[in-house]
Amino acid sequence: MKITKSRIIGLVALIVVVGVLAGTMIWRQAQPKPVETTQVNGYLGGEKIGLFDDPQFAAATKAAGLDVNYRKAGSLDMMTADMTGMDYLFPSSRAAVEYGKAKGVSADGSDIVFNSPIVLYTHKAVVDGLVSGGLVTKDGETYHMDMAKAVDAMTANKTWADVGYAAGYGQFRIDSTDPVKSNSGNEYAALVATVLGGGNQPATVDTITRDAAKIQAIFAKSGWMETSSEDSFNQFLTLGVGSKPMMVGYESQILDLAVNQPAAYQQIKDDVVIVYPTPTVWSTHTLIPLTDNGRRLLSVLKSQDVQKLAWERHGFRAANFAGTDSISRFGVPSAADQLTAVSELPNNDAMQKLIAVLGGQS
Amino acid sequence: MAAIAAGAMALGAAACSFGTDDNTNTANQDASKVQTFQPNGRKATATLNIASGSENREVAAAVQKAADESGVAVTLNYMGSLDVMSALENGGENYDAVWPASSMWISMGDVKHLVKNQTSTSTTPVVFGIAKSKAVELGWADASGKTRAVGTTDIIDAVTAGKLRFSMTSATQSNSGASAYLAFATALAGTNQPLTAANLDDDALRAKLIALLKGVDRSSGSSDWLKDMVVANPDRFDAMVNYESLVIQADKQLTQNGHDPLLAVYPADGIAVSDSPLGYVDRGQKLDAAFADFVKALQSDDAKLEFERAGRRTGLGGTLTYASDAQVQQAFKADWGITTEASALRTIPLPAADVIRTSLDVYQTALRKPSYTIWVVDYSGSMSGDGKNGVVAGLQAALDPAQARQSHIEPSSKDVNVFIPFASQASQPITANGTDTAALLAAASERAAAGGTDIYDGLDRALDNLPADVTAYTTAIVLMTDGQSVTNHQSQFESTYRERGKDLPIFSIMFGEADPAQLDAIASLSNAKVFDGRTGGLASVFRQVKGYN
Repeated sequence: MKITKSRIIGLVALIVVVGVLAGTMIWRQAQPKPVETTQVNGYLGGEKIGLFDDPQFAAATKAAGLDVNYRKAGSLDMMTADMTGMDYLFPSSRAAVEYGKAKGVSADGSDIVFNSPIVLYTHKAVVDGLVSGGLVTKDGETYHMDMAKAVDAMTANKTWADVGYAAGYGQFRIDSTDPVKSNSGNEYAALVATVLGGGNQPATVDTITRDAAKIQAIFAKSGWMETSSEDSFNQFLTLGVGSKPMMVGYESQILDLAVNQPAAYQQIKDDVVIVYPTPTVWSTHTLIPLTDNGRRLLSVLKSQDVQKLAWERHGFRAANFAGTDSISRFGVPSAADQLTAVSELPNNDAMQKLIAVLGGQS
Repeated sequence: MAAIAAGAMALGAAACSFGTDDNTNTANQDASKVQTFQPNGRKATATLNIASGSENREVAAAVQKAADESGVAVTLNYMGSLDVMSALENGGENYDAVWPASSMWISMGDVKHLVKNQTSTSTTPVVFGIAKSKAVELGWADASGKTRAVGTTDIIDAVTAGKLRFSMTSATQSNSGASAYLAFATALAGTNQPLTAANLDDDALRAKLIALLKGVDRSSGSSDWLKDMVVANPDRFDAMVNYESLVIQADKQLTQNGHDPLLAVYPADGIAVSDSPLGYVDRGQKLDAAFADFVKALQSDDAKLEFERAGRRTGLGGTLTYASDAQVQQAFKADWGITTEASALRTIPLPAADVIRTSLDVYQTALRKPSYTIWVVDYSGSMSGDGKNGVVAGLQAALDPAQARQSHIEPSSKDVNVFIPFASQASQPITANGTDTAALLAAASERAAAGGTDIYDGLDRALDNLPADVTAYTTAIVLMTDGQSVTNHQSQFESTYRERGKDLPIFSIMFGEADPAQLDAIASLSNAKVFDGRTGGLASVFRQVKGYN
């Protein structure tokens, strides 16, 4: 038989096809059996997106048979959102959980997953001004804002220049997220109310009623408020000092940035600093499971691996209020290991009153 | 390559642009409305359909780079930022992502919590671009192009003295207009605080804003088109409010054409900054991985460099990341008045969301310069049926106060609308003063469609019905036709226009068998634009055209 060119091509093609088929079968056999995963969906406070998008987190949840999805929502906003098909709510504080209960959301089986203190973010030029003006004290590389003095200055309509930052535009203010929708703004409002109430104990319905006009005036200074701490922090970084001289956020946000976006962090590390308010409040990130799958997600979040991941790569302190090692691992000089002055949140009635005052319903 | 071809066409044809190149993927797409970017040399892994601000047309090079690098194709649907907000309010429509000029439109529109992974792609401040000779004449710049600090009251004074007229997009249609208006109002309120609803009730503030907005010479629904319009006729338009990045683009084109550049003037008492956020719209369509790949590529060094070469800033805090790149330096030129010092960006605190909404309402109904719109509408025999129904629905969408309010284009008490139906010849005009448009709309509905098509006779009649003082209004003629016109009145119309048309824009709405060549000629004669009503519904096109006036 004469071997023609086309026969050779045909033979080669056949060998290739057989080879590919065999290879595919071997490859298939070598693969671990795919884990059957179940879709889990819920509402997530924006500051935890970095963790939920982390491939290591996805691997941990996948190993537990979960494929985790989320929709971004403010901690308070999510309590009244459409919960059809949702397996969990993951707000950023007990206060939001209590608010949800009042709105008819069952918190059965909810648990604190991790913590992060409420902090202020600002720029070097601003903080230097505020140190000279006396609102902020510098202790080594860390900064503390005297909240009583800050609230006084805002109540008295002081300008940025009055409090030591001459280049500032307009009145001294601290921008936060919308306190009626999002947790960081809400906890900041609680802090302001507590300071106005005398500062020794958490604000009460009575003190909030008395101080309502002052609280409203302080928040009116900010005008536009984001509904997500994540958007707020990104705006702070993107638009710079002229737009948001100082904002309320979570300590975890800059730690997350330092680990996960080192190039971006390099650009701002000599400029952006953490200022710890004195007192501050803890933000206790609490998961509310709505379904069995939500409960399975909660147990993955509470596992040691995920707790370690949340601290080391995203800056969330474990449920016992501490990290597993020094905060110096993040290379953020203004971050502090220990928080000394921490205020309790007002009780739920007082928080409801505060929301009513700020939502214009009082 | 298809995308680049369509993009180049859009840039080249300032007065009119619609895709006719059948060899491209953007065939039948109006390139000023839609552009698709395919990854070069490979098949796209996915396509993202994006609702985008029109200003992103200028960063096509960065988008193409990101498509190439990520293997993800993207379709940019250009629209005003307020339309992006509406799309989100409507559940995201068919979009996979949104890319408005400012994140406030996402925050206000995302009532259904659909938007995820929102990232700022670049920043650019909203500034005045003023022809150099004009800026020197006003005493706002020296011969080197160095500008001095100009306050909002200086601008009002120049307008009141008749020394300055400027073009600006409609505050209720486009982010650059809305941002500038909010910055003006905040600066003029003078409280050093965000604008409040009470400020907007203050007659003194309203009077100042009315005085300022009297200076608006031409309006537009699109920042990018506003730039094209100024570049196409720099002798007529010597100032605009727009993004710094579009002033840079304008200056590249103006200086290339041998004209005076516009100098960027940063109002000293407060400006607004666009942060151009791109966010995924989660409708359960599972394109989040493709979105993540695309965004990552859009934030790569290569793509960021293209943003900066196009005049956008990508550094944190409004700075430049590639200040040493020669092409970036060619964009951010000091002799165009551009300053990259952060201190020039004295950003106003934005008002609260409900105050923004109220501000836009007050702008539309009480503060903007009144508009005078002459609707020249084809009632030839071929319009009978769908054509006429579409026209009637379109006029209702634009002029019925209740319907128009939904798109923030409702008439104010000082607006004038003139309706001139035509077929073989023009009919008598019907005029509606203020918000009472019912009789005009009834006439539009009752008139039967019959006869031939002579658009030139209709336009000639429109020129007989101009207001006594065209500068008291933003005046425009809107021509709607579905057929090729007889031309026996064409030269008469053209000479009348040159004689007493006062450079007023004649916007055309093309429908049915209309002849693009005839409409293009009218658009270039009057430095206006052709809107394609053949796809997507006439009513939405009428609404869009009204947004330009």
